[in-house]
Amino acid sequence: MLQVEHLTKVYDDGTVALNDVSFEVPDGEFLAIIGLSGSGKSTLLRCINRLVDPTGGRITWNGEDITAASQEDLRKIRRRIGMVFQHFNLVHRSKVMTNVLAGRLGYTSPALSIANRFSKNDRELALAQLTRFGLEGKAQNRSEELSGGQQQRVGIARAMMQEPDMILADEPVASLDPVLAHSIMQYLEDINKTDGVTVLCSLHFLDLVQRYGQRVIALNEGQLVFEGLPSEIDDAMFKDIYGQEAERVG
Amino acid sequence: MADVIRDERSTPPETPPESAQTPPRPRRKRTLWLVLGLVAAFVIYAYGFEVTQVNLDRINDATRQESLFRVIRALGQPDLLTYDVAETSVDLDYAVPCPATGFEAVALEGSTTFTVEPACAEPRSVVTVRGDGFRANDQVQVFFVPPNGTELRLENVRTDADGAFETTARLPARPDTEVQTVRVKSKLNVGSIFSPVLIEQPDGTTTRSSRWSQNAIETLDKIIETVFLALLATTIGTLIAVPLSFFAAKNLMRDIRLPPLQLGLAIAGIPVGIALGLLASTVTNDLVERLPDSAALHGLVVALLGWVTLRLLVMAVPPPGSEASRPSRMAAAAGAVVAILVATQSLVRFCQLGGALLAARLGVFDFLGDFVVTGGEILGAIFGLLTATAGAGLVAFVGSRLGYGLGRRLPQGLASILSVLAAALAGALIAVAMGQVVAWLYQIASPQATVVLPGAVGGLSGALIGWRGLRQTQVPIGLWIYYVARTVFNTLRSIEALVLAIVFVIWVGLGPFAGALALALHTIAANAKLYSEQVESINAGPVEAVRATGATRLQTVVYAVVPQIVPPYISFTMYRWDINVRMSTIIGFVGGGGIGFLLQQNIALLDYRAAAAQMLAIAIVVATMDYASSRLRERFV
Repeated sequence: MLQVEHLTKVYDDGTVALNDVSFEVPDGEFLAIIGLSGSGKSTLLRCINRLVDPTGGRITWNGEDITAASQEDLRKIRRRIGMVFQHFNLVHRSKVMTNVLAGRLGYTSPALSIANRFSKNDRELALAQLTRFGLEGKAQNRSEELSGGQQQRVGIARAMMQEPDMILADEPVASLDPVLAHSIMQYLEDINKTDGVTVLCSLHFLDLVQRYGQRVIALNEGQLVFEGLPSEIDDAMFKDIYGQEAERVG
Repeated sequence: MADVIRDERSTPPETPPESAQTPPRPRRKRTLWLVLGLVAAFVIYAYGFEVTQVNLDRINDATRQESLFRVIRALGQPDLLTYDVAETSVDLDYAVPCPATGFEAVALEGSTTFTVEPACAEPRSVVTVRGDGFRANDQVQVFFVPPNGTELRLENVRTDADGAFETTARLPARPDTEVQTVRVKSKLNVGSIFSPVLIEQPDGTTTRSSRWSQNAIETLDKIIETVFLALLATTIGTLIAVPLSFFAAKNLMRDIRLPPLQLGLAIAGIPVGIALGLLASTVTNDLVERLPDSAALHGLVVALLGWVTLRLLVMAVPPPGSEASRPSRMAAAAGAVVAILVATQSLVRFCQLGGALLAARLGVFDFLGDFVVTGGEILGAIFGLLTATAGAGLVAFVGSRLGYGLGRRLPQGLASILSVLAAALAGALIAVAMGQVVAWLYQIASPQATVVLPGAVGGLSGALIGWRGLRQTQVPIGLWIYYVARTVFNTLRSIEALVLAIVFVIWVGLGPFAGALALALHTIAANAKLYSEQVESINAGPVEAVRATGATRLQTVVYAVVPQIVPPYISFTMYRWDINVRMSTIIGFVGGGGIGFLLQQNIALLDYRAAAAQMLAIAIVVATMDYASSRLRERFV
């Protein structure tokens, strides 16, 4: 159970990215997060694994207070939370294998991992992940040689290397075409259904939300403006979330 | 439609109607500014011409132009080859001044003759010299030779197509009662570089009539020295600049924050660590000193301890999966540290003894042995520094861990008091250290002013920072280190390598070593800054992604930062080598070794032909380096 209570983030320049956001995510749920660009979706996801430090409020996960965790504890929490990014965030010049193995760094002794030494188990796990996401034979390629869809699958494989209990997906399909978007979303759905991993996924397109989301929260200018089922988003609700001038495109 | 939009933009609806009349004003204002700008530019450049003494008369001055042409012609004939010369010399008796009895020169016989008119003259008078029967289109030299035999050159003349010449010359102020001499000489190179003549020397050897000149040989020698000077400076500078550059990268340092308790104990640990490191260096040195001076023995010790170190390291950092207890790992790590210390001390001696043996047997290649000896000496010299640094790092780390543990276990109030105390201690230590530097610099011998006062002030400010840090929970130590590193690099970088070379010449004496040190120091400062800018411009995405996996800071740097900066680092290093080669050509001007020394000497001696050879060498090397480095950069980037 992930509990977010009165979460607030004010950046140093005074921008209020999140304003008193509270919600709960039961284990194993696929939660979609929607909202305009700049509504605070990315900040919210980054507060959960503290890539961004919140300025107020509390996040607890299975009883552990993430917001109060020390650096040491935070690393242990982070390795149970996978993250998938809009721009994939792979190290372009490194091999696919190295990028995937990077997901294992939280579990590896720093001294050994610096010498690029991973256990046999880790390497086998990495190959298994590559196979699962349809990347057989790409292990030794430089990741910049891969297509966008393939790169995002490497990103997911990296997250899965952490054997996570939760995945934060920050607009994972926003840089991909619609066909690839569905394929990536299906992988995330499979991870959610088969592995029982909680998924928090921010999305742009409502049809994706309605197709994959079990529940939806909506943010507008840092405030939670909707929490409910995807089917509850009708045209009136849509205009509340996206503003009166918005038109539905999909 | 488009017009409407543009109108809307230029006059927003909320602008009051008066503004409709204002547009001319900005335009007039702009014109006024333009005129003012032009006037200012005129004044600035006029003053610039004044202070730089721009002077067309000098450029057009005939004698100055003549000097220029002489230099350019000399530069066109670099002194690279030397020839054996066959010399023809014709002497004519002459009288300066004219004796009261009159003087009649004995006319020369033979086909190669010349006359001087008048036959005798007062000192400093102008005479006419006419010659005949010389080699056609050749350079001949006219000398005046007083009784002591010194040849005073009067003129250089070219003969015409028939081998005749005519010139005027001013006699020197050398009046003498004895008969003096006017001499005309012509020189002929024996053979040419393409068809050399072998000449038998009196000692039975043969030499080629044309060969590389002494200047060419010295130039080659010095240009090689120059290239290696640059190579050494670049290597040393890069090795030090690369790790330092990470400390000057804002994106890496920004997030390093420590609670005051951890930071205070870490800083307090530094002097302890330095002391322990120095102690370790001395103790191991004494220990190894007792071993007999045998290269073989030390080699054996190094090999043995190296193996032991590896075994212990494997035990200390077990491969993932294996379960080793914490105390046994700590013990193995401690054992490895001791083994490394002793092995290094032994390695120093092995290098010194073994290198000397090697040098004695290698003959021409004895520099290889000397290199090993020097390497050992350098390692020995910096060993204390290394152990002190490592000790400081280690104890600071332990202090920080201790602070972390205390912070978690102690009750809030006690931890806060401890935090403020630790911060005060750290502040006092830093202030006293700075006080000692000041005391050394200005030779202040008052402990009151250099220990007590800074200690009190530092302690107080430390306590304040600690107290403030308590409220913010963290002290941004990373940013502080960043600002210090940036300031140091920027200051060092602003001092030209040429100026640094002067300082090093004072320290280590004239020669290439001083130049190499100066260039190395400049390379550290310049490249650390350039490298750190590359770190700052990396794509932040992968860093974020690796951090999100729960990786440590070091792991994040290795996996997300390093792969991104390898190409620019290689590129900047190549570029720096290129710059260092160019710099090392002039570093000799201040005594820093390399070809600049020869160049400066020859320019001072007005030997432009010799200087031309050095300029040619520099041009060849720099152009080659430029080409090679750009090719290598293309390959790596």
